[in-house]
Amino acid sequence: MMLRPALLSFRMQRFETLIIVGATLISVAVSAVTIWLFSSGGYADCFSSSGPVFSSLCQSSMATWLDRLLRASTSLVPIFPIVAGLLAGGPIVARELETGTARLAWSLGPSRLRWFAQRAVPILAMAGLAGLAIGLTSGALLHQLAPATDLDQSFMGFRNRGPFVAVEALGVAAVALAIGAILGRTIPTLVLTLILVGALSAAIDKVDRTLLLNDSVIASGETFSWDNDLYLESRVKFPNGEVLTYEEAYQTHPEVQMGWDGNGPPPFEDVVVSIPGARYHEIELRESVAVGALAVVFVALAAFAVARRRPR
Amino acid sequence: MTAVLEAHGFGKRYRRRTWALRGVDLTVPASSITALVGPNGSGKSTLIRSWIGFERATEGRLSTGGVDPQKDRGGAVARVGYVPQTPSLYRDLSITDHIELAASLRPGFDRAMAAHYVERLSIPLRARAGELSGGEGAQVGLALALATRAPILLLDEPLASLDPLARREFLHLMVEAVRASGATALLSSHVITDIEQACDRLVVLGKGHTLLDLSVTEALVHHRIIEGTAAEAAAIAGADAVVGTFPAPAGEPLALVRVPALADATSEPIGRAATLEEVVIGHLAAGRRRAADAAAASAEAAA
Repeated sequence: MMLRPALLSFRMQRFETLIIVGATLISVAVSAVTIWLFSSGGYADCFSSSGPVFSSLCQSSMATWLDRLLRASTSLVPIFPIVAGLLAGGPIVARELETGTARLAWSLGPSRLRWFAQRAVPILAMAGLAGLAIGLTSGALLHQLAPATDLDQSFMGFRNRGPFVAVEALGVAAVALAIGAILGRTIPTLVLTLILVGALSAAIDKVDRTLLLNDSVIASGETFSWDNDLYLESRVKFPNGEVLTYEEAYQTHPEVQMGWDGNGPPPFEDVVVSIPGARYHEIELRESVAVGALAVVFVALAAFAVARRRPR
Repeated sequence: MTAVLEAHGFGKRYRRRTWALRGVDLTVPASSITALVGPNGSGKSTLIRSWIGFERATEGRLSTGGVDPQKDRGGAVARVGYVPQTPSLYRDLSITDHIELAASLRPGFDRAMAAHYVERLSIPLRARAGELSGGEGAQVGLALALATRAPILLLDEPLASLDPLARREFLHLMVEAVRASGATALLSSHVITDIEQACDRLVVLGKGHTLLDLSVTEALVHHRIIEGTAAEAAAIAGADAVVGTFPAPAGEPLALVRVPALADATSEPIGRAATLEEVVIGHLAAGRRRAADAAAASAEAAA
């Protein structure tokens, strides 16, 4: 019973659906071929150690090309949820209000929330699934680039792989959906959503950083792993166990600014405030829940706007 | 007479300034086809949109099939089939898709009836809405509204952009369907000649107020036209009988006068019979004059 309205919803957003699904399918297909070439051609060995491998295979143009493709693919991942979310969520209500089709739909259906669910759920699900596909693909690509790293125990590609990409796409789509329902104009919706998503990301980053700092550990240069742990900031540790930021240390311990002259034991130690890689899934889940909750709030806001507003 | 659409002291103000409508008292009887006539900005669309719950009343109250659309918009929508001025169809969807969409949104939507009406108008069901002419789009909109099997049909100037043949086809379909189902229709329009043939009741709105509300037959029987100024008409029919004067396309101005129905065939009627268009124009002219007098009086009082 719900299949037909879902299909109609996709047809109403034919252009956006084509771009999102097309980009996802192309990305997944290209990645799959690249991974297959990587594995079957023996190129995986070229990335098994941390430094460059000097072999004829690893120096071949094919290896260079595959390496570039992998890195380019993973570097595009952060953009995907924003583009997919904007294209999916923005037009759902905004375009209907702009073109007047909302008036037809709202005069036919006694329940606007039913209309809203029929319109929004399939499109949001598409954005989420596309994000999930990209996130999982990104994880697989990262695994090729760093085969020695256990991605389940590592912050490598943090926020740019796995289910978080799907949640991020849903979050952006939900914000665009709500703004579209309030403004009722597609282009201003896309512009304002970009601005709001930027502002929200900055605010979330700030809150998240505070939470992460509370959860962090102090790692020395020997115990900190750049491949696995999440770097937050560098600090200075003194022999009495005091740990200060560099700004604090410059004020209270001027010798830090002068540096260590190499004579005697060092008067301080550079340490790293970080989250151990073992906590990757816990932190990823926490951030996913936070962004997901925000998405729910914006979807509810959109539903409220749809229920309250008058069609053009 | 059971009223299915009611307005009691209804007023709608936009942006805390402009009153689109004020003090409107109106009832539309069941199983009638009522024409809602008035110039641009007279509040026709506002009133229709308010009955379907798209606008909120600033004052007064409305009833749509016994339901207050402000308190129960879903209930009001469920009782109404609505055709707006522009059909607002989804350009990329076919007519079949529109029928499916309507069926998914509206409990009891009659797919077969919608398809029947569309096919009867020789519009292919597989055609995309973007390919349809304005008239075809309006007819699809009407077919969708009729297939809701709603007891009330609200038509907000659907004829405005149609050519004469398309207008005639639209009205024919509407009248036939409404008469067959016993539904009530309210049709707002500028085109008086079409109304005369399709509607049995006439409501004239002007400057946000109801200027006239009676049956088409009564409107024709109780109004006459006298060629001449208001003073000349008053001399013939009495000052109280003169509704308003307005220019003729050429020659002397015309005065619309209200007369009682002829008591018997031997009575000599004054002037000549008024057309429905002249009845409407006469009342609109009277409404404009009253509004100007009121504005002048209020300016004088303020001074």
